[in-house]
Amino acid sequence: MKRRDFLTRFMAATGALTLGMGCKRRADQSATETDRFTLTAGTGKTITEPARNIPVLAETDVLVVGGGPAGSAAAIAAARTGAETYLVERYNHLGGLWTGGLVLPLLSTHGVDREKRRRQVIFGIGGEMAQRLADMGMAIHEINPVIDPEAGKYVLDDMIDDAGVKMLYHTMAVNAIMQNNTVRGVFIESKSGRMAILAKVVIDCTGDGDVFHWAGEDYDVMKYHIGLVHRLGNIDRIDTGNPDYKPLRLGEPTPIPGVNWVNMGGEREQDGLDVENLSRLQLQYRRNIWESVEKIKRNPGHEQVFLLDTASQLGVRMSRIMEGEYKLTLEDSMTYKSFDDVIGVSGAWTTMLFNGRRIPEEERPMWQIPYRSLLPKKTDNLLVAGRCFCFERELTEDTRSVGSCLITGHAAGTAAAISVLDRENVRNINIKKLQDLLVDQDVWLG
Amino acid sequence: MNPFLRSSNVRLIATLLAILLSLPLAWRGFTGIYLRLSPFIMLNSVLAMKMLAWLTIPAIIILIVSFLKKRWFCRYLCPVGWFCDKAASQSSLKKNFSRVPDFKIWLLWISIGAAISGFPILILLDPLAIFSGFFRLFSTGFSPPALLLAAGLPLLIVSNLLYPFLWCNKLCPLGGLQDVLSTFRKRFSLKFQPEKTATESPLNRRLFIAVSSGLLAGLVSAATGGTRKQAFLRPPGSVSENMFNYLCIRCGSCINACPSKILFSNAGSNQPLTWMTPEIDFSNYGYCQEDCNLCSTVCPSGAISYFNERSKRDLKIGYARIDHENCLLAEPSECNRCLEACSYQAINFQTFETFWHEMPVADTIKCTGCGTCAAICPPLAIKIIPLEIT
Repeated sequence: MKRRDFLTRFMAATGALTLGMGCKRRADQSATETDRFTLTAGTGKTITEPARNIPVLAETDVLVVGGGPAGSAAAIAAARTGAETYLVERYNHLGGLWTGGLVLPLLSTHGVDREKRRRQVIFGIGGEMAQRLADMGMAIHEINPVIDPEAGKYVLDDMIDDAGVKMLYHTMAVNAIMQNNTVRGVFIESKSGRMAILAKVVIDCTGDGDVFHWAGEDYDVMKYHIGLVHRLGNIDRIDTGNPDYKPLRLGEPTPIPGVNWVNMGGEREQDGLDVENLSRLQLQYRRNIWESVEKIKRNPGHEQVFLLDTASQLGVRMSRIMEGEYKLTLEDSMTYKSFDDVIGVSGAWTTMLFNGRRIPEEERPMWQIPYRSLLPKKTDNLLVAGRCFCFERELTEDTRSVGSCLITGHAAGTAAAISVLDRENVRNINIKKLQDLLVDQDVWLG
Repeated sequence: MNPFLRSSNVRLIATLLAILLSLPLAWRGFTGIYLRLSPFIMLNSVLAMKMLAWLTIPAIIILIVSFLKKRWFCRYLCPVGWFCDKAASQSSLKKNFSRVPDFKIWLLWISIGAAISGFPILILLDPLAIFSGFFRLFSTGFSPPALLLAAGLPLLIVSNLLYPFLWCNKLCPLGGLQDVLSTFRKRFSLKFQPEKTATESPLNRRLFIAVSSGLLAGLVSAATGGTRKQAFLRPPGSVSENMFNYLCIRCGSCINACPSKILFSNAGSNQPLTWMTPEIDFSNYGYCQEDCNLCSTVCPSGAISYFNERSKRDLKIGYARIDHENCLLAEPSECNRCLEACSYQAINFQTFETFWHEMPVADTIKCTGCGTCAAICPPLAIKIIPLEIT
C-alpha cells in the first residue's frame, strides 16, 4: 500500500511538473511572437486573432511607407522615373515632422566643399520644394530655410499629384508581407479596414523603421529626447514700449509675420516606440506649453501673445537605426570621404566635436551618402530612407535633419523605380545608371 | 670591426635620429622617445617620484650598460657629445683642465640630493634636455623664454670652441653619473682581486656635502615655491604644481604629441619657474579626448605621470563653470549639447528660482575639466577653471 501510494504521488507530481514546464514553454513562445510588436507594458496576456482573408487594395511597382520628407521625395522620384507608386501616410498631411511636427527649418542645406567654400548641397526634389516655397514667399533665410507648414503641405500635395503618385492618407502600415527574406508588400489599416498592398519594391520611410523591423532586419534602438513644437502668434504685438518690458526669447520667426515657432528639447532618453509613453508625453507637453504661454502672457508687454497651435505630431527625434550594408560614420562626414556608390550629398547644421576640436556649423564639410547605407543586410526588395537608414549614432544630429531625409528619399525612390523598370533586385541595380539618372533629376553628387 | 658599429658612426646615426625625433613632425607616441634613453633624467625622475615605471626601462638598461662599459652613452648615443666633439676638433686651442675641479660629480650628487627631496632642480642640465630645448624653437616659435631655453646647445658648442671638451669632461652631470658608475665597477672588480687596493673612494666627505646641499636646496625650493597664487590648467596626470616646475624638462613632447592641440608652452608668465612648461589652453575650443593618454606616454621625466583611459576618469585638469546668464536655457529656448557631449556624466540639471528651465550644473566630483562641454556649448557659456590650490 505504501509503495503504491508513493508511486502514485510520484507519478502525479512528475506529470504536474511536466505539464507546468510545457505551459511555461508555450508562454515563452507567445512572448517572442508579441515581442515583434514591442509590447513593453500591458497586462502580459495575449490573445490569438483568427486567420482571415485580407483584400488586396493594389498591386503596384513601388510602395512608399510614410509620407515625411523622405517618403514624399521617394514617392515623387519613383513616380517621375516611371514606376507606378503608392504612398501610405498615417496622418492627413505630407512632410511629417517638417510640416505636421512644426520642425520648420530645412536643415543641412549647406556644407563646406573641398575648396573650403560653404555652398548649397541640397538639390533635386528637396531643392525643388525649397525653391517653390521660397518663390511663394513661404520660406525665410537662404541657408537652412524656415518654411510655413501649411505652404509646405500644399506644395508637397501638389508635387505628389503632378507626379501621379497614388496617395493614401489616414492609412497606417501595420505589418510586412514576407516571403522568406523578401518583402512582397505591407498590410495597411484605415477606416476601410485591414487591407494589403503588394509591391515589387517597398521603401521604408517610416522614420521608426517599422517595415524593416517587421521584416526581421537587425537594428539599433536609440532612446533620445522627444519634444513637442508649438507656434506663438501676435509676436509683432508685443508692447516694447511698456515701462516694465523685458525681452524674452520666444522661439524663432517663421515666414508669417508675427508668428514664431518654439522648439522643445523635451524629456531625455525616451522610448519613441512605446505608445503609452508617447501618450504620457503628449499629455504632459501640451499642458506644459499651455502653462508656459500663460506665464509669457503675464510678462509686461506680452499680454497679446497667444498659442497658435501645438504640433499635430509628437517630435520623436530618433528610434530605430537599421544595420545596413554600410554604416556611415562621423569620421566619413568630417573627412570628405567619397564613395563609388554615392547617391547624394548632405550638409551640416550644427556644431560638432571631432578629434579633439570644435568644428563650428559654418566649417562643417559636406558629406556623401553611399547607396549601401540604404540597403538592409538581409531583406530583399526593401530600401530604407529617412532618419533610420544605416549610420552610427554619433552622426545622428545630421542624418535626422530634413535635408538628409530629402536626399536619401530621392535616391531611394529613383533606385526603386530603376529596379522595377530593369527587373533587377534593388541590391544589383546599375549604380552608374542610378547616378546618371539622379544627376538628370538635378541631384548634386559632389 | 664592422665600420657601422664603430662608436663614431653609431653616434652620428643616433644624432640624426635624435634631431629627427625632436622636430615637430607627427611622431605621436614616439614623440620624445629619445629622451627616455638618458639615465640622468630617469634617475632624477625615479628619486623624485619614488616609484619605478615600465617606461623607465630603456634608461635603466643604458645605466647597466654604462656600468659595464665606461662612458658608453657618451660614446654611442649622446647627440650633444657629437656636437661638442665636432666643435672641439675645429678648435685650435688646446687647454689643460686638470686643475679644474670635477664639477660634474658635484652636480650629480647635488642633483641626486635635490631629487630625493622631491625637487630635482638640476634636471635641466641633462644633455638631452639641453638638446631638446634647442628644438623647441621649431615647435613653439620665438619668445624670450624659448630663446633662453634654446641657448643651451649653441652655448655648449661655442664653449667647446673656446675650451675644448670642458663640458663633457668636467661639467656634464650625465657624464658624472657614468664616471661614478665606472668607479663602482672598479671597486666591485677589486673585491675579487684583493691584491690591489682602492685608489679612490666615491663615498667621501665631498659626496656628503654635495648630497646634503642638494637636499637642502630641494627643501628650500619646496618652501619658496609653495607661495605661488596662480594655478595653471595642467595636462591630466601632472604631478603637484610645485613639483611640476622642477621635474618638467621642457622638452615639449606633450605639446607636440597632443592630438587636440590644446597644450601650449607657458611663455611670459610672471613666474620664471613656469616658463616653457606645458599648459592647457581651451580658448580655441579644443578639448581633452576621453580615450587619449599620449601626453603621459611621451613625458620622459614623469612630470605627467602615466595614466590609462580608465584612470583618466579620476584625473582632473580643472572643472567646468557654467555661466547661467549666457546659457541658452536662461531664455525659453532648448539645448542639451553639454549633457550629450559629457563623457563623464558630470552635467546635471537643477531647478533654480530665477530661471525658466532647469539649468545645467557641473558635478565637481565627476567633472575632470576636459573641456568637451566648453567646446560644444553654442553660446560658449562654459569655462574651465583651474582647481584651487589649498
